[in-house]
Amino acid sequence: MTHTAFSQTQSSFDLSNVNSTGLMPLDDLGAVQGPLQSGNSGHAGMGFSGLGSVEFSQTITTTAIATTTLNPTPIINNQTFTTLDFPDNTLSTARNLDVLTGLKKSTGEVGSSDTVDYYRFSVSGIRDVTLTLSGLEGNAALRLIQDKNNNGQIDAGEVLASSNRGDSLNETINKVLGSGTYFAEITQDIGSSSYEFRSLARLPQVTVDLTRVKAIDNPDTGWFGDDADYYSKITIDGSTKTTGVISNDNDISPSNWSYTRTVDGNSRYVSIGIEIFDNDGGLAGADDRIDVDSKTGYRDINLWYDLLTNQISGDVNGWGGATLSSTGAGDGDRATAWFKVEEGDWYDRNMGDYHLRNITRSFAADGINRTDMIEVLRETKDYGSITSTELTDVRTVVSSLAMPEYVRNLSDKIVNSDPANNRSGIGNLYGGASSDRVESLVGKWFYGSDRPDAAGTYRYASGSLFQDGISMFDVDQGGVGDCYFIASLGAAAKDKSYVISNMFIDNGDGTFTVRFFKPDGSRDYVTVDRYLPTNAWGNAIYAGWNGGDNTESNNELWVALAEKAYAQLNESGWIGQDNTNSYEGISGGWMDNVINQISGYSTTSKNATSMTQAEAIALVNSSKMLTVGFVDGTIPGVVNNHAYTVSSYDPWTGKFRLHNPWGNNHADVTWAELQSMKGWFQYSNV
Amino acid sequence: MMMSTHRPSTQPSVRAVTLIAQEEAQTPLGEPTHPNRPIGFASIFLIIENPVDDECRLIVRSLDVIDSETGRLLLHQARPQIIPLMPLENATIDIHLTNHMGYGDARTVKAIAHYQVMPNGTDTPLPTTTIESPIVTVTK
Repeated sequence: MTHTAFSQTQSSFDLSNVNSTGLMPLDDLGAVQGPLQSGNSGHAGMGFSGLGSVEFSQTITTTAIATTTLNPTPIINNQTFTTLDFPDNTLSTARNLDVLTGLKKSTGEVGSSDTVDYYRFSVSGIRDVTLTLSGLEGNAALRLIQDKNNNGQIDAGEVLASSNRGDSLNETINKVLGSGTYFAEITQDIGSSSYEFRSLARLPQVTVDLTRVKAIDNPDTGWFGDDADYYSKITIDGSTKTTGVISNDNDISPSNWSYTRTVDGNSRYVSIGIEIFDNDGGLAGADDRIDVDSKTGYRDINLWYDLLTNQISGDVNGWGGATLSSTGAGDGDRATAWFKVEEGDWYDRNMGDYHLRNITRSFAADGINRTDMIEVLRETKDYGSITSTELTDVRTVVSSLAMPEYVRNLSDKIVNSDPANNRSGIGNLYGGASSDRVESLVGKWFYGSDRPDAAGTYRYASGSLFQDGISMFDVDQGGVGDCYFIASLGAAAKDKSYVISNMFIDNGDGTFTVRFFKPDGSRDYVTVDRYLPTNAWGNAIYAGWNGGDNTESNNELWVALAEKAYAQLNESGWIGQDNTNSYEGISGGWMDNVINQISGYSTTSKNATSMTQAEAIALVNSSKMLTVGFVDGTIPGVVNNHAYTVSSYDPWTGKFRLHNPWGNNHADVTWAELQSMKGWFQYSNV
Repeated sequence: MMMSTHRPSTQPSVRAVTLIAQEEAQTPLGEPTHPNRPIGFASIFLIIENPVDDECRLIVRSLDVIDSETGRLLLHQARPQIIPLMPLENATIDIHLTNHMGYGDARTVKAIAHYQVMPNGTDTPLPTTTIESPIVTVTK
């Protein structure tokens, strides 16, 4: 890497030495240390003196700063390299991605003062290349260029593909490329925009679909008295797949006589062979080879498929993707075969929308996470609505691709359904649904934007999910009758704190996805944000957070967020409440349901009158989540129609301590008193 | 030998029915006592698919929850419920039935849904289809 012209007006880096892995060679980084420090010694943070401690196993990313600056400050922060990007404004100074192998990600920015970024990459062999531009705030365009005459200019015929959809829509290109050097051009169209540029190279895949075989002469006539028993052998690049047999049918349209093979990418030409057989032996006791070759004296179809031009030649001429046919010309057992040859991977074969397919392929290359899936879903919002093709595609993505369970669960509610979709007034997706509906569903399920009906005012709650660990004393019931829920959380906090910690996924953007278990043991998720119902002074109206008002940093939010999640989950119709998205809707209930819903563990409900004291003591001393509720009258100090966490048993006093979810108060009662109150013990079986 | 291949449905249908059955004899904690409240609860979920790129209606004619061992009817809804479906819309419809008797001695139950599809542009529904939920244990 060389560093040139650090003047008062303009600075530049030549990143051409960034190596094939996207890493900058250590020698180059070392070389730049002197000029940067000596030329800009007065600027804090300029030096590369810390380079010796930088972990070079990580990707170094160059980020554009599209403003003239006095301080071209290279920043190394968590293995992300940031620098000015003016040098990449021409083909000759393009950022070098070297040989494309797998996925490479870069970030940058184009705007009014830096209108274009170029990336140079090379392809070795034949590769299926996908380029995507995502995360756009403004309108940017993407072009794939090959400087065929190496004059550093973009001449006629040198733009191989382009994508410019307008607005802030993702731009994508997919094309099979041969060995050579290529450029990706990212240009500002309207407004400034940062971007993520992904380049992905894969070995091409070729698929042969044999869609129909129709006998000209029935190979079984006169011998077995029935019709043909066809099967086929499909060969791609020397590898053969033998299909199953379809018996007693002279005109078949098989649905799965298909063979997909990843080719080695060493040649643009792929050899294809198609053979048809009748399997019942025939005269010689061996399978009959059916004539499907239009040349006399030959029986099989042999082709060459050109990956770069998509042209098919040989026994049949045509184009990839088109349905072609060939009829045997000999005087033996003859048939006509219809078939299709095309290049493309799983995404090409299973997804119909070009840009959605490219974005999904690009994101899936390093695993689909929550952010990726949101981006994929939002890709369907282009042009104001989700088309039927896009809807089918995202359903395929959700049902087929690997992703975290909670991402799949939330995505499924968006692309398929959940009772809460209609109940909330948003509705399910359908072919032609508006992009607003897509966004509302993404907001509801991935960002918790559809908050429960509540008293007071929603305010952002500072603090953290947990403070000083998880404790039974964290629970503090508020202004709704969900003692059964809060007491169950207390029981989990006391005996199985992992149940609580495992409920929450911190999304890192001010939202938490919360896990619950359905009665059949399957997991269900909702997402909540950090906005909680507060009174005029910013204090909690419902479950408290052990701090003061909503702005205090020592707020501990897990109880309030779990309660809010439960109120939202109610709208999905399966928790046994009133099916509304509201705090009032979760008023009244029993703990055994909740213990099962938060832990997945089976539960037991037993009245004290049918238990022994020893049994109760054993339960208290176990790690089972233990609660008790009273509905048949109580003694002073114990509240009727109320739930408690059973926290301990004191053998000296012979009393059980019942922790009240209203906060830090409790009742100590004897076994006789528990029996007289007909307390209902409800607990996890584990 | 004829190959067996799966053909996707070409008509709107209830793809699956699931049931949650619960008896809650005791007054829920945290709210005032309602002496005449129901104690038998059934939440029936109809997972509906419209694979057609056109609108249609699905009419749920009736829903029954029966004792899976004896066939005794425990909860019933006879009032037809019309569910409009947009093109390619999948919908999960939950229907909640209650009674004041609970489930008695029934240990396991199942839900049975009878429905008809009315394609767009017609007033004549297709023949009634019946679909059952898996058998579930009543939570008491």
